Formats: sequence, structure tokens, C-alpha cells
Amino acid sequence: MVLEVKRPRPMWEILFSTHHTDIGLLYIFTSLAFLFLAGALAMAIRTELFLPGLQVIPDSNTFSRIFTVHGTTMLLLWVLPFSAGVGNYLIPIMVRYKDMAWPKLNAVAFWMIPVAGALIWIGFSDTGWTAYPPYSIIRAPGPAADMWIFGAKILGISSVLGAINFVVTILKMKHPDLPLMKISLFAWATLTTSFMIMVSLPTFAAALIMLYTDRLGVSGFFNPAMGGDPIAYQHLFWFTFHPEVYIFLIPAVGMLYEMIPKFSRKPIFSYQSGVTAFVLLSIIGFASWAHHMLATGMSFTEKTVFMVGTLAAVPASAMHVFNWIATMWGGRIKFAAPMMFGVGGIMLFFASGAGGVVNTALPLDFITHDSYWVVGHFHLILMGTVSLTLTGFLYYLFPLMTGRMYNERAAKVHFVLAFVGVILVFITQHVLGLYGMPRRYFDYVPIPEWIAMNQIATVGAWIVGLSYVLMLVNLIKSAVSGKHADMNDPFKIGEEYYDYTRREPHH
Amino acid sequence: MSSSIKLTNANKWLLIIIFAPVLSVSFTSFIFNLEQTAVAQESAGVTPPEEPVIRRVEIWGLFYRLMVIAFVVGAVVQGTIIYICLRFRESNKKNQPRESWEGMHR
Repeated sequence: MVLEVKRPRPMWEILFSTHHTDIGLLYIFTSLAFLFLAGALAMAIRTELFLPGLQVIPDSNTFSRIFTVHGTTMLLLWVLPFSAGVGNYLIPIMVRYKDMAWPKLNAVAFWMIPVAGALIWIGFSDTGWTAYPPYSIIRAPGPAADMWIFGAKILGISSVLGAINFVVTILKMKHPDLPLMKISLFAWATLTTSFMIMVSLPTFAAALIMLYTDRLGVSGFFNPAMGGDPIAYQHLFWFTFHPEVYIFLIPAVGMLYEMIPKFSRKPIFSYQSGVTAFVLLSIIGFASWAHHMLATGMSFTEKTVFMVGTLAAVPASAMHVFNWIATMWGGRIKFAAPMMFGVGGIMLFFASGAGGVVNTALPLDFITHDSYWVVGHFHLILMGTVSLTLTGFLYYLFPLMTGRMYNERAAKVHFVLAFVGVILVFITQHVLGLYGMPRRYFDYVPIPEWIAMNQIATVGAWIVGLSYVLMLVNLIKSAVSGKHADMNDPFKIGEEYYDYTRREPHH
Repeated sequence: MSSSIKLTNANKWLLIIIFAPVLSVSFTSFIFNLEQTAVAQESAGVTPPEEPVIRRVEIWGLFYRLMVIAFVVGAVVQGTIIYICLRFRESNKKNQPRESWEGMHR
């Protein structure tokens, strides 16, 4: 928060602070650090796949370790903490309360993240981010896999503590004069996400304990040799992690609801439909977990139920898209960098959604399953929509965090490079999947089409990597010596920015 | 006594709750109809021997049909977004400030 940052303080004062803006700052710094670490791993993966044969990674086991830590870090140490950081900054301001409901609990929830991140990175497990048994319980080398289990466990506890804090802050600490149906849609996004975390995560927590005791050999829940069922783990895992997809997505949607009306200089087209779509998505998110497992031999009826459950997310998602389009229609749009990232994210949201419909259609799932189509699909949503939106929102919050403005031209160049790069990588990966290239493979058969498409994807990845290095330089330089921002309206759109002083104490 | 039905907020919510499943089921039924002959289940005894189903062909046929739908809908949605970006950008000379709207979204 600018008020705090303007007054120089020793570093330890921020590190040991329980104030929501300090915690938010720590969340955002940490998540960005992990974004760049996991991004470096992504560059290694793509460089390895530039050509068939060994390139930069010495063996297949190291390759497995790299994509495991890349996936775990990007999902659990970049997207989730960044959204929590933004929530920490904005939720108390939006509900007009002095801080989060439980500031110390908030700090505890944050400080679990570096610990968990260290466990995951020092261990460098090779189980894949899903840690499917029987490999993860029988063959996966320890202590790497055990450290991954404990890291994931700690992250789960951190998320649940954070979620409880958000729910109580929004529902119990909001200003008495502020009705729930008047709070910002970003606050609604945080509220629904927090409820989803509280409902979905305990299942994964239980699965992790079972996985660990299976590894110790004292139980055999998922061990076929002891009468266990590996598929049971997949149900427990995806019961948490399909809703988790929406937990990654919904805060980004909330951020879009902050940026689109602001930069369009128009009210949101339909606040009620935004709230309805959030609530619908948070319920429907629990009705589709087994679509990740359509190829595991479930009955036709089960598969059909989960296919329908998955398709039921389409109307709710479409409600958001049409809401954004209708909000922009007739506005006077200022294309500052945050808005460019936002609109880019919306365009890729449709493309990734269409790919998802193909995945879930039963006969088609069998031709795309475990192929690069799936890699392209989920990266398009997580990198194309979620990460681009998060990046746009980082630019949007930059004046609030530092009191300074970033370099707008560099930010726009960042957007263009990132948008083009994302399309080159992930749309190409869809086609690569249709050509039959399996995912998670260290090496591949030198088929000319596969080589060409892998090279396009790798060049795209390098472009994305370069764009984010540009962002890093821009933000560091601007934080140190950028122009001071007009805190009433830093983007010159004729509307007030977040006003830290608007909160009246009422408790 | 007025016989007109007022569209209150509660009614809007009701309509959304009613139509969301209707739309999703309709969409699903459409897909079911498309893949009628390509269900990856045992069809022996149902399909006469003189009309063999080549699943590979049927499944890829379904894929291409879905892609046609996706590209058509995508072209409309993305085309609309591109049009909005061009037409309603602030640098477009036709786009004048609207005093009644601007600054009102909070």
C-alpha cells in the first residue's frame, strides 16, 4: 500500500507485519519469485523438446522432476498465492474494514508458503504434479516424493486458513451499511473461491495422508499388491483439483470485472448475472471431477454424468464472457496495458473453453487423452487466460503498491510478445496432440511434422519468457525510479482509483 | 387489476436458474445426436452387418463437426470482441465521451 511504502521502513518490519497490505505484498513478491523459477523450468522443458534426442536435460528422470516441479509451482505457488495477495490488498478496502478478520492467522497462512515451496523445490520430486499411484507409492524415490507430499499438505492448510479468513472478513467484517449485493464482483469471486477451497481441499488432504502411509508401507489404500485401488486416489485427487481449476480461474474473472468496466468507462452490464455465474460455477465445479478419468474404465453412465456435469459449466462461463462484451460495448475504452492483458485473456478464454468441450465429449476424449492436446488446453486456460489476466492486474495494482507508474510502452510490448508467444506455444500443442504426440515424454520420434510443431512451440515459449523478463526489468526499474503516480486516477480514465482512506472504522 | 408480470430481480434469478440447465441439457443432447453412430460401446447386434461402423472415421467426423461449430461460434465471439476494440477505443473519432455513463460504475 502506497501509504506504507512511502514511509521507508526496515525490511524486517514488513516481513513480520500482520497488516493486510504488507501480507499482500509478501504474497505477491513470493508468487512472482516462484513464477520466474517455474518459468525457467518451462524454458528448459521446451528447449529440450526443440529437437528429438538429448538437448539440455541429461536424462528422462530429470525431465520428469522438472515438469513435476514446474506444474506444482505454477499452480500452487504462483496462481494461488498471487490471487491471495491481491485479495489481501483489496478485500479489506472493498468491505471497508481496517484489516483482515484475523491478521495473525493471515500472516501464518502466508509464511507456510515459503516453507512448502522450499520442500517442493529442495525435494524435486518426479511423480508428476498429480502424484498418481502406484508409481508414487512404490517406485518414486524418497525423500523427494515425501517432501512433495508434505509441501502440498502445508500449502493445503495455508489455503484453507486463508479461505476462512476471507470468508469471515467479507461476511462478518463488511461495513454494516454495505449490502452483500453491492460489494465488488472481485469480492464475490474471492468469497466463492474461498468456499470452494474449504469444501474441496480436505479430500486432497486425506488423500495425501493415505499416500504417505502407503509409501511407508503401513497401509495399502492405493497399492494393488495390498488390495488397494489406485483409481480411488484419482477420484480423491480430482475431487479437489477439478474445483481447483475454478479456484484458479474465478479470482482472475473477478479481476477482469475490476478492470473491464474501469477501462471501458462504463458500469458493469449486469452485476447480478456476474454473481449468479460465480455461484453457478462454484457449484458446477464439483460435478465434473471424473472427466479427467474418462479413460480409466468407468461405466458409460458414470462417464455420461460427468460429461454433462462438465458441459454445465459452459453457460456460466458464457455469462461472464457476454457480460464483459456487453460492458465494453458502447464504452470509451482506454487500452492501457492492464486492459490489453484483460481483453487478450478473454479472447483466449473462449479458445481454451472450446478445447475443453472437445475433451469432455466422450468419443473425442479417447483421441485427445494424454496427448499434447490436453497440455495445450490446460495451458491455454492457465497461461493464456489466468496468468495474462493476473499479469494485467499486477500492472493495474502497481501504482497502489509502489506509488509509482510502470513504463506503459514496455508493458504494451510485454503484452504483444506474451499474447503472440502463448498462441504459438499452446495452439500448436493442440495440433501436435492431434498428430498423436504423447505428453510427458522426454524424447520423441523424429517425424517431420512433430519436429516442426515442437520448434514452433519452443520459439513461442522463448518469446513468452523474454516478455516476462521485460516485465521484471520494467517493474523493478519503475518501482525504484518510475514517475510518481497520481493516486486519485493513475490511469487517467476519469474515475477514482482504490481509496485507502475511504474505510471508516466501525468496530 | 393488472395482469402484467413484472420482471423483478427475483424473477430474473428464477429465469436464470430455470434456463441454465435447459440450455446445458439442450447442448448436451445436440452432442449426443451427433455421436449417435459413434458411441464407443458394443454395438454388435444393433448395427446390421451390411452397415459396418468404422469408429475411427466416425469419431474423426464428429471431431471435425465440433470444430466447425467451435470455429463458427468462435469467429462470431472473437469477431465481436475485435469489432468492439476497434469501434469503441477512445482514439476512435466517432467515440465521444458519454457524460451519463462515465465514472458511474462504482
